[in-house]
Amino acid sequence: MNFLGGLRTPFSSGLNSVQSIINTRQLSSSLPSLSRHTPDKYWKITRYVKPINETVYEAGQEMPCGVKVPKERSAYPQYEYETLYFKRQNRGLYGGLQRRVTASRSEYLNKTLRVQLPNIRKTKLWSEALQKSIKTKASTKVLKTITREGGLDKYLTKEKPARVKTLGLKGWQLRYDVLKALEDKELPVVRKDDKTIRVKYIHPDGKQFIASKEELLAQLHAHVQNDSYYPIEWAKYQKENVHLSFGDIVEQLEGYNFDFSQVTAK
Amino acid sequence: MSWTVARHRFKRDPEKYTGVLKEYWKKKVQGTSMPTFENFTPYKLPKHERKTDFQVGITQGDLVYVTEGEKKGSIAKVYMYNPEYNHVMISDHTEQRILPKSRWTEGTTSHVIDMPKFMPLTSIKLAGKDKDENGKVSYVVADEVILKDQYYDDRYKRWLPRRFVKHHESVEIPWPAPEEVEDGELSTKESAALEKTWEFQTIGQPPVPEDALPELRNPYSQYKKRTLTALQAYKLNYPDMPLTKEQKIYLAKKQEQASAKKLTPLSDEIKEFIGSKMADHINKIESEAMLAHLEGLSKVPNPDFEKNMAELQQ
Repeated sequence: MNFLGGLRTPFSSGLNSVQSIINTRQLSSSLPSLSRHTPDKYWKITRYVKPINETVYEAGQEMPCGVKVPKERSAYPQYEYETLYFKRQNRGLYGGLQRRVTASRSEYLNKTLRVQLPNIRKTKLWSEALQKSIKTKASTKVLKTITREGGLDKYLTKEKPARVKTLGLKGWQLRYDVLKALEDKELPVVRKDDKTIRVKYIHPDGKQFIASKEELLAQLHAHVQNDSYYPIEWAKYQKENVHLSFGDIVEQLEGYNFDFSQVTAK
Repeated sequence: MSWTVARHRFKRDPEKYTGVLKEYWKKKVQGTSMPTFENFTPYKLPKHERKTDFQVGITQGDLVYVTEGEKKGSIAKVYMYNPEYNHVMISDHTEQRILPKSRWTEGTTSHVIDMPKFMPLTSIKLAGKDKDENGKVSYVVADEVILKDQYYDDRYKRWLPRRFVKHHESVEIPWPAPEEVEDGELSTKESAALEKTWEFQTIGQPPVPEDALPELRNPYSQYKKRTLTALQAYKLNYPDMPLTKEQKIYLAKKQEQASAKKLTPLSDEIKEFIGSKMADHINKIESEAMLAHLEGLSKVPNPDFEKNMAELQQ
């Protein structure tokens, strides 16, 4: 709305005051016509998402009111942009595409509402990090993007806000799996007893563990059982100690003077 | 909605009726029965307005002065106070009713019986009995009573408020003695019940064994404060999304920059320069309101500034 744009003599004396007003008005951000129009491509996703609960609970804090402790810990982190409409997009790689409502026009220009669904294909996509192909539905647009990015892993692990918003729930979960696998792959490979094994965990004191967390917990269970008069069932013990981290288990085993030579590379 | 709740929700509850509907319902229930057969149906007080006899100030055994009705001007004794209707039942205040034979109880010999009549609190006044040195009995009738303080009444074995005549607060009307309960064959004597057979020996040793505590207290009580165990906290929390390679590089770089940035105190020359600039600016301001505003603004604590100063001092 530059209504002074066509003016040939903007610095003419008669119009100086008007020009100054216009210049000062330009500073005001409340003037919609002068502000930049930046449409949010994913407004439909961001507008209708359900806010996630980001509270971090700690051991020893007061039992929160109205919160039910689930039977098992969630396998995946919370997804901020999980859509609550057109829910099939949460079950595949839809790339932020939803159904669109349009009107078909007859010969007499009568409007009849109809929907246009995104072009969805069932595919198998190879994941280099997970070393397996993933059977999923994906929109052709996402397939094109995956090709352009150079593989499923790169598509999933890109951290641009637009990518995070359009991943969908399924994509978010795959992203977690891929990043976890990549994190594990960063650990060194060692040789022990003529076998090449990937290290599972490196303790702060430098011990490289080749045994899994479960195997180590079983060792700890044997020690705890030894100390107890009553039998402690393995399944129950395992269930009640899922929260122990690898480091916690190692520390507890150190208390029992456990010989780590069998379970460590170094 | 469960069936139990649904049943209550759709049931007719005349107690909830108000105004005209209440009157209408009362008439409907009464029907066309003769006055002698009429039921005693005054309006019930809503539950939150009900009070006990000691909260109202009239209890069983009190003397009252009747101000309305047939027995107007007489002194009577209170038999009971009904909190539901806010009425009292007093002595010698009965009405004759006809009782159908189907409702006779053991010992009834006539269709006509004396039924005790309930009186509203508005038609009675509390009376206190007084005897002077010559043995002459006189009554003090209280227009209104007020309840003040508290004392332990050994007769009732409980704490009770003191009762005074309103505007004459030196005149106390004591609570009547409670009715004596006769001991039966199986009753325990008061002395036996109150006898102390056991007491604390030491504070080092708990009076109740620890294993017996959950049996005495309810470990599942909803009023008990509970804390989250490590397992529960673990289950409630969600796993974190691992960082990508790019994110890790970015964070490392940022941390490096943060550690490289160091604050140094300003030199006196710069301080003077800034001070003179500010003084010039403030001296130019003529508006008193603006000056007052700036004065107020300078007193607002600035957390960023304090943080920087703390960092500088370290």
